[in-house]
Amino acid sequence: MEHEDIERLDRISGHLHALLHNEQPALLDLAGHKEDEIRQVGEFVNALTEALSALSKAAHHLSIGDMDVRISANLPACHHLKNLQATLRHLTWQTGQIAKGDFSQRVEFLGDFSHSFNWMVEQLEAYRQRILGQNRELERLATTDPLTGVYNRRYLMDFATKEFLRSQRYSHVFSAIQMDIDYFKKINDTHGHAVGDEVIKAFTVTCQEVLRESDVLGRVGGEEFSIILPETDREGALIVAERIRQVIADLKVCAEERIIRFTVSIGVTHLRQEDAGLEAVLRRADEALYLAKNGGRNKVVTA
Amino acid sequence: MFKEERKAPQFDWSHLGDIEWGRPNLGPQTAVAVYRLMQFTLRDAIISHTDVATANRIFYDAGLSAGKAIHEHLLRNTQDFDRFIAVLQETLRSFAIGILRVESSDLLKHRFVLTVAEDLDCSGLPMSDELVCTFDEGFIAGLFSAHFGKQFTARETDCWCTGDRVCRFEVVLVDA
Ligand SMILES: [Zn+2]
Repeated sequence: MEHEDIERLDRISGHLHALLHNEQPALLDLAGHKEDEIRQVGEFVNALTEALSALSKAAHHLSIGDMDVRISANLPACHHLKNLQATLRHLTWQTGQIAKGDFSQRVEFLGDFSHSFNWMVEQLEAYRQRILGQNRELERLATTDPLTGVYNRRYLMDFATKEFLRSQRYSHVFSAIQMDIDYFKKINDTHGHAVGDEVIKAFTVTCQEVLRESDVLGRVGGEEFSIILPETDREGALIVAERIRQVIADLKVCAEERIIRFTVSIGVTHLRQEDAGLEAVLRRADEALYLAKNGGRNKVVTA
Repeated sequence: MFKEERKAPQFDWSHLGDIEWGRPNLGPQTAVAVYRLMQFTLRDAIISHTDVATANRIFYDAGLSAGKAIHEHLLRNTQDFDRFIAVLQETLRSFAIGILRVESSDLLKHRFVLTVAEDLDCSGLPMSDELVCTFDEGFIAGLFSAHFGKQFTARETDCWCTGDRVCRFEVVLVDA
């Protein structure tokens, strides 16, 4: 081998040594080299140097989270980086989706990370379900009467207000029923509160059997109840009220080895054009109830 | 039905026939090589009869019809975008068309970047520095156009054949 060739090979091997020892050597200057095999080796070494430099740059960008880096080199290792880049970009999008509440996202192709990530999303979804369940339970507690499970005064008034506004706006009709269990105080005094509670419960269960799904029954006082009947005129409400009066009069409640019978007085009214507010409707129902009470109880009076 | 002259696409899902009935022994599956054989001999023939631009236009338009048909057939009830993507991912996977992933989605500007890994058309093809998934471009444009009820275009920006491991598509709304 000629002396000049040995020198050229020396320079190439020095370059490779630098490359392998974590330096970024300048490209080999091949100007003036003969067109021979050694020059070709030099050219390959230069191409490899450039590709490795691009690879290192891309890996650095990905390592600091810059996912938009353009990975230009075509070494097989770059293909893996591009794969990783696509996975990370998708993961970034998925994380945003999860933040928006889309808990259906699952990560694939990232080994242990996939497991942990997917577990986290499952846990988040479980927490959310639990909180939703608790909210529903709180909502239920806030809107229902604990003894009977029917709606409480607050909910009933909310519902009645909405129904009033809706019916006025669309010129629809609705009816309101006020009910009071007759001589309830006497039942309590004679048989005790436990029996009184059983009577109240039996009363609501029996009412609900008569009512349609759209009718809303609420316990608004100790033995006082209201019903709002959407899309129901006076005649319709009267039929419902009379039916309730009848089934209650026929009802036998067994409590503490006693059979209790009782009756209910009912006032019925419906929305009229002149009603300025919900209060007017409810006042009229109350007045009708008062008349039913004074008229001997176990009666339905309409107003 | 198949050999009538036409000026506009007439494809309908029913043209695929009753595969279960027609292939009681061989079933609904075939080899990826067969699909590619069809795709690339067809491309070859079209280019040799016309030119590359025409071949691309034909593949894109065919993809567009296919995307719309698959949307009509399988994704019609996915009004919500997230649901649309989830069902689409599942559909592409169950048909072994590819693994679809979203890299970005801007619902206000109607701009999306998607990738398809293990793409039926191109994964494993020899490197050529060409973006070859023209049918997929039309296919994705058809799906998005059908989903949003507006005209979208899709452009492949990276492909297996250009050295990427995934095909990457930019999907944008065509300005009205
Ligand atoms: Zn491709």
